Amino acid sequence: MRRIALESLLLISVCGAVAILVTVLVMDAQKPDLRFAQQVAAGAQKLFESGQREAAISALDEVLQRTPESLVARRELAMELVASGQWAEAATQLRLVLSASPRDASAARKLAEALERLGDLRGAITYSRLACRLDPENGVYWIRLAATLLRSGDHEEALRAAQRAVRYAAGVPEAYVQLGFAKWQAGDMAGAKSAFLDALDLDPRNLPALDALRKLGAGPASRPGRPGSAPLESARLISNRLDSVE
Amino acid sequence: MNVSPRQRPGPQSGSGGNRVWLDRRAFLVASGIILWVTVFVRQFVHPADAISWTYQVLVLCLLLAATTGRALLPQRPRNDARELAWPPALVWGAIVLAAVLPHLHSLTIGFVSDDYGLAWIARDAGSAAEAMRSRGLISFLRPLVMLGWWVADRVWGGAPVGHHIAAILVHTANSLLVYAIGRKLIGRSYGALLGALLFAVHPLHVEPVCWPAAGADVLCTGFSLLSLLAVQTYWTTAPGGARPVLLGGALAAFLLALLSKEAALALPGVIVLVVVLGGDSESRQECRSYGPASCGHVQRKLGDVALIVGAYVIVLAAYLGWRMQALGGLGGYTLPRTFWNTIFPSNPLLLVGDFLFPVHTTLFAGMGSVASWLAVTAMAAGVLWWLAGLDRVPGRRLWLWVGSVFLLAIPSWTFRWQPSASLEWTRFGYLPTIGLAWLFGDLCAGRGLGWKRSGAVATCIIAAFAALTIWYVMPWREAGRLARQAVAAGAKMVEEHTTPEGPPALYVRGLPEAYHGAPVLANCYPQAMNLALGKQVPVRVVTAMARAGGVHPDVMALWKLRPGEYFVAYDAKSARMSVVRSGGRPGALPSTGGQP
Repeated sequence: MRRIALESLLLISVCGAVAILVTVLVMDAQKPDLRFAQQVAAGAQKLFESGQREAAISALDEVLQRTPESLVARRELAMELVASGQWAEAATQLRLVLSASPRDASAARKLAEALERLGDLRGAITYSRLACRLDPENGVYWIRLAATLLRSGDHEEALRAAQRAVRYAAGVPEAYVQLGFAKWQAGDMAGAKSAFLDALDLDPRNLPALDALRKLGAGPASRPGRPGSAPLESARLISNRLDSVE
Repeated sequence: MNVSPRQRPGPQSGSGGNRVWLDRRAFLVASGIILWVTVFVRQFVHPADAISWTYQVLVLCLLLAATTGRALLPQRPRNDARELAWPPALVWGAIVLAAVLPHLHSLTIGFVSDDYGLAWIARDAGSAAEAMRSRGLISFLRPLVMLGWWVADRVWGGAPVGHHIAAILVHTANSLLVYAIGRKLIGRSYGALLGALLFAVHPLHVEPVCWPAAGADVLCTGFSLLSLLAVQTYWTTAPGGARPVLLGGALAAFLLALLSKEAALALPGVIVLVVVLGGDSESRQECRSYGPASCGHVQRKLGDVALIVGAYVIVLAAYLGWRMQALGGLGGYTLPRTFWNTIFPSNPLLLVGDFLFPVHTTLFAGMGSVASWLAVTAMAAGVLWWLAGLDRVPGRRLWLWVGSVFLLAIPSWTFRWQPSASLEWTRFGYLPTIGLAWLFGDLCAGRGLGWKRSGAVATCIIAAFAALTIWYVMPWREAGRLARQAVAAGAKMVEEHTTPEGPPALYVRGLPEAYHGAPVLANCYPQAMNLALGKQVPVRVVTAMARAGGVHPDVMALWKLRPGEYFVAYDAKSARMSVVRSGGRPGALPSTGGQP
């Protein structure tokens, strides 16, 4: 009995090794397609940058029909859809990218942006938080999360996110601007003013900070919190600037 | 035929019927198939992906095949009746030379990466006690190592060559200890010598020996081996005056090992293995042949075992309590755990695989395909030689060697350690590989003394590994050169832009992170600049990698620089640093591409 068990174990070891070899070779055999998809993705990026957006997107669509598992091509397609403002399609592709590569902080961040554009603030906050969790030292993600939280009216968490933004992006005026708005919403006028002044110290021509300071000087009646109020519109402008840089 | 007392009849021994399909040739063919697949997958398919799970499973298949073959095939007699006739001075001299010579050209490597950070902590510390209280670069409790850096800074000004000499000396001492302990455990100085020589020259040890920041592993191994030696001597010493001193010494060495690096956490487990499995049933006959000095373990008592284990557990508990209190938790690395390395002994398997087959894939790729194939085939043949001789190793000792490897790999098992194709992170394998070195020695001793029996192949393996070590040190030398260039360029930039108000603040991108597996400036560039300029200068690194104090490129693109602040780019090819933009003169934002 012992002998049979041992012999079986030896056979299993040999068969296991051969099975692994076959698996690895099959995976390797798929590589040419994946390599081709990678090359198409690189070409599509150049096409897109040269202004031929539709041609780039259609090339990527075509290659993804042939090699749907190509993460590089799908990611490129998603980013191009985001840049073209096709938010719904971009969100679909980004969800697929994230399901294949759940640690892709940049994809999570872009999905948050797409969802926010589509009006899904809750989804945007979820994916923005995910991006911050995956890449906590990227201050831009914290700035973005603070802006989205401010829009949703959650000024307590927005304040925490803005504080993290200032910690990881100490030289970025937008981090102080978000901190200022978060403090303003929390009723801390002096703190808000100080944050806006910090932003102006870095960038004396920072319009949202100048605007906010002007309004703060007008008194507490202009306190933000209502949808469409001036500071929140400024926050939206800042989000747009962040999106253009990322 | 000279038949050792260890000879055991296997299931097939005896003549006549009951012949089964498995004979030694069939076993070698089966092992050869698995070995070939392992080598092929690791070396020639897609190494980076392959080692994510396939490599360790293949090593497991190889170990399973080896152990089942060993259990099924008839045991051949050990040929270790004769003892090595070399004078002790020659034996010790050979080990010293083997440990020193292959690493000699590491003396000029200089500092790389974390070395600068540790050197700066030592330089900045006001006293030895302050340095010892430091948590290192992450959250470590290694007071002995920090004391070493502080002493180095105060005694020889922290010059890198001193650290390299110290590392080689400790490595040499470790190799000698491997021999001393191996001689007692294996019972033959011949086997112990070959095991110690393999440990001394093994290419997996390039990282811990050549990188001062990884010296913690070398030091921790030294104290762990001292502790093992003391326990072993205690165990084989007749009751009397020296025993309490030996036990006290063993415990003190264990504590010092823990204070060097937490890698020694599993040492009590190995002590238990040595005490329980250090001798086998056949050794009673050995005792009769070689006298009472070689068979103290036969006289062991349960009380002694409990005393030793209890004492080690008390020291371990005290250390863990102190560590929890000092670090506010267990501390250490915070790398993400993966499914594989949590539920599967991937680290020990990777370690065994890399010990048997220490191929630096990126360096091998530069050899050309034919030379690479030949080298890999020769190494695979060496591994098959190992497997074919496993039946010469007594069962209890085989468990002792393999158990030691697996136990000592536990501390690194808890995080994502993955020796890569470029043999990074192999410092975590320095301590566990003592078990594999002894296994090699035991195997050679079992094959018999002399060139025709095991000497030729064993010497070839050791010589080949020594050559690999010499080769694998080369990327470290280049990494050191690249690091020095980057630091010099940064220092020049600081000097050129220093104003009466003070030095400029630099945000540096484009620093070389690694060279063929050797870290260049993956960490600690600001501290390197501090050391180069002899004062603290405001330097931050722009990198997408998570670094303490680093700035993400996305963030840097929005960063508003104040007067006196410079965003600079380093070009490793020309070793020059250029200003991308500076405070007060805003230029175009650097392109980040939007991609991670």
